[in-house]
Amino acid sequence: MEARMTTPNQHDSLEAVARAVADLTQPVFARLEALAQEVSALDLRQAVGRGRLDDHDAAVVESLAVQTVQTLDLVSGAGMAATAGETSSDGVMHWWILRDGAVVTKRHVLNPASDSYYDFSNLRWFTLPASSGTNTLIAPYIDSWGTDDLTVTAAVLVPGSDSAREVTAVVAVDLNARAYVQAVEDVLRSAAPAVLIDGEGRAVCSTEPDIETGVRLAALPSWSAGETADVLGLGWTVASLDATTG
Amino acid sequence: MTTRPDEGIDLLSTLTRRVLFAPLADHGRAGAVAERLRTAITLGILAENEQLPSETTLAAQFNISPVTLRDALTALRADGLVTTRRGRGGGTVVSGPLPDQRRVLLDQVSGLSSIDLRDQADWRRAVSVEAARLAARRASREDIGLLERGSANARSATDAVSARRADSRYFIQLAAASQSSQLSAASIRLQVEYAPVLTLTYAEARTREDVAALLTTLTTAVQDADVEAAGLTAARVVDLVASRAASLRANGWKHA
Repeated sequence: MEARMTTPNQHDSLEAVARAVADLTQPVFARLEALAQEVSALDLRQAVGRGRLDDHDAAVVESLAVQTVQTLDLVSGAGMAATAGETSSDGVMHWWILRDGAVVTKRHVLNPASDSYYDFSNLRWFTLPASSGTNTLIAPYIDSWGTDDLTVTAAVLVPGSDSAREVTAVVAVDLNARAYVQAVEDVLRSAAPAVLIDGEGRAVCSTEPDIETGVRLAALPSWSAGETADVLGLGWTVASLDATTG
Repeated sequence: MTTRPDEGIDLLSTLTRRVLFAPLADHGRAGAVAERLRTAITLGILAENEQLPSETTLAAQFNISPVTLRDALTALRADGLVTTRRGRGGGTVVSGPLPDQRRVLLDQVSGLSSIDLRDQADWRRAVSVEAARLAARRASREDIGLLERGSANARSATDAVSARRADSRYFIQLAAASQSSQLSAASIRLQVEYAPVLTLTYAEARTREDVAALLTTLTTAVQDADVEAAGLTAARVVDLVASRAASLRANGWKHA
């Protein structure tokens, strides 16, 4: 990582680390913004009514999603979701994943009567960009009835769609959570002891073994932050840790 | 019979489906395949209108020949559990649960000894208690929102099938809130393995109500980051269901 600045000033170093963290997903968001533009040109209202994109539109999204999964580092899945109502059963979701080296279509179950119901309209990767309009990165979480595994999701609102209109649409990619956390750890090491904190005060990754991924920092009695630097665009923070921590 | 080739479509990509369609130990028998699918449909794990993977994919997944699979599907069609639509967009689709659901469930549990029941409860307690404790430490606000929604579903469940589904989804969500991939996978397997016992136990309204109340308490403990209370409450849920299930079994699975 190019974040290994060696300025004697701790604060500058932390800023550089925060920039390097944002840089990890910058290509992903650039691609998602381009994808969002393409999706905004599709007839989403009709797709939501039908429960799926028409064949032509599906092929457009597929070629972009497949290319995204194949060419971008860390990306393990990509696609779009849109809804016109309160729940995902009024919606449409098209998704592609990497499986055994090939990109294949992934079907999510949008039937609320099923045990495997995937209610994306209540998940942050959909609701956060929809309500705020800003690019969103969801720290590692278990994507139940989706990947069923630890996942990091990057999501962008489709322009012209928002909750005030009839259709809300989001394009998103899943990142390999283990690889992403490893990449963050490599970046943080130059500022150790340090922790990357998500928008609600949970550790995304730290250089300290006692601060595990996912833990709410408020739950750790011995933790105390020193300097902090914002990770621009993500609402996350890099914090150096007091020497007494742990 | 036409099948829709779904090479390139990952209909097995939820873990629930990989567990449901896991290779048979007792391979080669159409009866065993039909039984597995009949149970999943009867329990509502596979919902009405859910599409099954293509015959080629399913046969490969179960580790049986396509001919054997076709025999199994023929039996399920005769029971009215699935329908097969031909042509593009076709395939085998779940048509609905059996009217004599209770008989299918009793078939599933009739072979369970008291030791089997105890073992199932022990494993469920180990997974659920640790999931609850870790969730109290790590749950995101989203996780807590989903748990609140899950306990609300448990409170509004008015029959055994919807109460069983609410319970399964709650505990899978709880394991997800623990942020542990392995606890999450274990919880999904338990959902399938414990479903017949849960469904029979939840036929009783009192059990549904008692568990729903405990799940509400458990959600609050996770929200309050109270590790001890979360673990103890999860254990109480598992023990309550296990105790009612043991009584039911002793009574020939008949409700008093």
